[in-house]
This record gives sequence, structure tokens and C-alpha cells, in this order.
Amino acid sequence: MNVQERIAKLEALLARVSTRAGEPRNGHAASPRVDVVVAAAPVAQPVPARIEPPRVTVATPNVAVLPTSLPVVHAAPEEPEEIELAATDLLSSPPPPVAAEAAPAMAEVSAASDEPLESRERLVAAPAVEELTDVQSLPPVAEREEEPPPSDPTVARAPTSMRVSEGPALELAPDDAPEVEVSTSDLDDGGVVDVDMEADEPPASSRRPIALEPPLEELAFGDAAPPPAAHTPPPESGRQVASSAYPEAVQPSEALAESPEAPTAAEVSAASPGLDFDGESTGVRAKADAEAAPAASPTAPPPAFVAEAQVAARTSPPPAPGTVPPPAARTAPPPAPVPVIALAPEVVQPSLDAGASVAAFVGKAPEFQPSSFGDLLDATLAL
Amino acid sequence: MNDTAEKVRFDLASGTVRATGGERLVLMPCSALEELGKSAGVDVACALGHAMGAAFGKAVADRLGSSDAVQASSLETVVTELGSELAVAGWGAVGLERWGRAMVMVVDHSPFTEQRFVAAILQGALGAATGKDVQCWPLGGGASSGSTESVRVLVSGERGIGRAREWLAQGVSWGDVLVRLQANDGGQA
Repeated sequence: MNVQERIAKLEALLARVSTRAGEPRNGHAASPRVDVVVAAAPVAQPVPARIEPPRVTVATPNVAVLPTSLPVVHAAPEEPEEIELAATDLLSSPPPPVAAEAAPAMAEVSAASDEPLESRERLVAAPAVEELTDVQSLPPVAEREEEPPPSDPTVARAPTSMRVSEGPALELAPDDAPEVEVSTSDLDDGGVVDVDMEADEPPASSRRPIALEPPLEELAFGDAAPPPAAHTPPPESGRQVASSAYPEAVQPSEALAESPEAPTAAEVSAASPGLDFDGESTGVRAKADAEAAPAASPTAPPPAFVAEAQVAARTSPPPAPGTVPPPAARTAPPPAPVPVIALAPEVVQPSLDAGASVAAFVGKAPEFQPSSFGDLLDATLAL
Repeated sequence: MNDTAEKVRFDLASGTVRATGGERLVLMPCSALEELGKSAGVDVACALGHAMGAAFGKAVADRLGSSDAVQASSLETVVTELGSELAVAGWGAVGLERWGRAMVMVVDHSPFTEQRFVAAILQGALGAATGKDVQCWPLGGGASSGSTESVRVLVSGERGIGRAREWLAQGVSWGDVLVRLQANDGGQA
């Protein structure tokens, strides 16, 4: 198969993907398994990972994002179709420039993809589908507040975005296609990736615990609404930053989308590649979240949240020297200067006369004067 | 004035030495007495010294007339008569110190290093001179003080000597012992 044939075939696949991307997504729920055939040729950056097994089941939630609008990805939820390419072809054939022209999608390689993941445990939490599907078309904050946040971060929602992570992360943001995240190692493994569309049934190799019991809030409070989380400031040490003044329903990515200075999705992915911390349940927030809080201030958050942030800034202890103050403290108005009062003691010395006769002797000390040797002898014998 | 003339009479023809009262004396080296004390023990030596002192006190009482006359005499008279007796016999120079109510006899140039032996001589002399039960105990720390220049001997009753010995055994200096005796003598005078 030469290059022209492959390009033609890939273009056909692209057209098919585009048509299927426009279709309603209900059909995905019916099919529990989607086989995604990935051609490794148009990858934007050569991947150093080796290519051995042709099929890899997508289970681990480490994130590498690839758009489905690229000609290299073909999603066939209803009719699983596999197009297998030889590994030698994948390695030997250079990336055709035609693929980029056919689908001018945003293809950026995460700058922090080479950095090691800081916490493997954090990868357990599967991100919400709507978070990174399309950054530019994120709904406003009010709409997001209507949706109840996931009570258990370990329980994944319906994953329209499939994530796989083993090697360096790649993020390709499509315009209007569901997001499919595939690691480059999977691409190297032959381009055939099995994506499990059922979030309730993670594969056996997944580290996500299966929610066999109802959430803790439900056990504790029943059907009643759980009490609101206390807005206490997090501790100063560690990677944690000060509590944000945003409501629970507002996700950091949404705040970024609202802000006029919001970074792009690629920048957010570069700051925390493949990591999605649930700040409300863990108290850990990414650095981008902390920086996004003051950036989102022009959106004028509700007064209640502003008051909470100010209270948190006042009650939190002063930062240690050399540390960056939390965003809430920086946004709070500076305290009024305390007037300095100079205190000096008023000394009063007594006036004493050195020659004053302060002692008066009355009487006479008893003195033993024996008149004879016998008196002294009697006195000493009486001792 | 103390009359020390012819206290000891040497009869060279008969080879005798006699005191003023006619008591026969023997001149003997100090080393012999020390050897006696070492061989017989301290208690035997003290008994010997007590007997020797009693002879000195009896001579004082005879010279002053009686024991009552001795008590009625002044301090200087009694110290002079007693000192002259010990000086003629070669037991050193005797003095008296008054520390408040306490009487302390001081013997300089004692021929013996055993202070208890000196204290025994003074105890016998004062008892014989005054006719009272007098107890004497050296304040210099006991028998092994090693000082022959000056020996201080406390003169007191049995109760006072017992307390002084206890304090001295605890390491209290003789000056503090005398002070404590002054502070704890209430009701006994």
C-alpha cells in the first residue's frame, strides 16, 4: 500500500467519522464496546514508544487526548471495524502532510508530557466527559451549576472521551467531534484500540474501584441533600493552595473558559497533563486552578462567595516568608495600617538621705562577765 | 603572784625528785610515754594522763587552800597556778579562752601528739582543783590532728561534751561547735 492509497483510505475514514460524529450519541449507549482504529502515521510528533501488541484495551485513565476528527482516528461504535496497519509501515512511513490539510485540527503536543506523573492515585478519578470535549463550546457556569456534581469521583460517567495513558500525552482538539483520548503507546501497539464505553463496568485491569455501595452521603443522609461543604482554608504546606471562591459546581476548566484571559485547552493540559483533581473531595487543586481564580474575577462571582473568600483570607495565618500568598489573600483588600504608639516608661526615683539615722538601739546586749573561775566553770558545765 | 620557787626538789645524794608537797617525781622521756600509750591503748594512756592531771590539780587546790577557794578565785589566779604546775612538769604552756559561756583550755607546746591524752591531763587537773565532775574533749579534730603547737580543749559537762563530739564527728568546725553550744544552752544555766 503506497502513500496515496493510504491517504485515500484515511480520507474515507475521516468522512465517515465526521458523519458519525454528527449523529446523536444515543447509539453509543447501546453498544458497550467501540473499537477505534488508529493509524499512527499522521501523529504530529514521532513517538519513541515501541509497537508490539496490536490491540490494547483502554482502561487506565492516564490521559492522552487525540481528536476523532483527525483522519487517524476512526470511531465505529455500531459496527466495529478494524483497520490494521503493519507496524513496519507505521514506523517507516513518514507522516503525510495531507492529513493535516484534510483535517486542520488543532494538534499540539503537551509540553509537560515528558514529565513523570506526580501521583498515580490521582489517575483513578475518571474525568467528566464534558470537561474537555470542546473547550470553546463549554457551557456557561450557570448551566453547569444545574448539573449535580458527581458524588463519587471513582464512578465514571458515560465516557464520550476515552482516555488512555501510558506514554507521552498528545492532545488534539477537534472542532465538533467527541473526544477520544488514546495514548501514543497504544498507537504504537498497532493502532487498534478497544474503548469501553460502559463506565459502570471497568475492565479488570482498571484501578478504578467499582462502586458496589451507595455513596457515603447517601448512607449518612439518605435522600436528603448533603450538607454544604465547609469552606475552610486548606493548610499552607504542601502543594495545596488556598481555597477558591468558586462554587462547587464550577469546574476549573469552565472558569477558564469564561475568563477572557483563559488559557487554551492545550495550556491547561500542559499544566496538568492527564490529571483532573477533584478539589472538593481531596482539597488539592492544580496550580492552574489557583491562578485561574483571580483571572476569573471580572466575571463578578456572587457576593456570597466573595465574602467567603475574604473571610478565608482574614482567618488564614500569614504565609511563611518566601511563599506565594494564596489567591484569596491577594485579592483581599490590604488591612488598614495599625497606628504605632510609642510607649516610654515614666521613671520616678525616691529621694533618700544617705546620712539619715534610720536605726535606733534600745537596751544592751547581754554580756557574760564571770566574776570568778567558779562562775565560768559553772557556765561552761551548763552548756 | 604565783610562787614557783622550789616546786621540785632534786636530792642528788639520795637520787630522788620530790614536789613541793613532798610527792616523789620521776623524770622520764616522752618517747617512753608514747610507747606506753601505743602499747596499752588510748584509754590506758588517757587514764594515765587523768591521774597525772589530778596530781596537778590537787597541788593547785592545796596551794589556794581548797576546792572552794579555787572556785572563788579569779580566772587569772586559777590559770596561773594550773599553768605553773604543768609548765614545771614539762606539759606545755596552759592558757584559757572564754567563748561566751564556754571555757576552752589551750595548751601550747604539748609533748604529745595525742590530743586526747592532753585533754585527759586537763580533765584530771580541773576536777581535782575544783572538786566538780568536769569533762574535757579536744576541739582540734581528735587524736590524729598531728599538731603539737596548740591544742584546744573544751571544758564542759557530760551533755555539752556529747553534743560537741557529735558535731565534730559530722565535720562541723570547732568554732561552729562553740556557737551551736551557745545557742542550745537555754534552761541549763
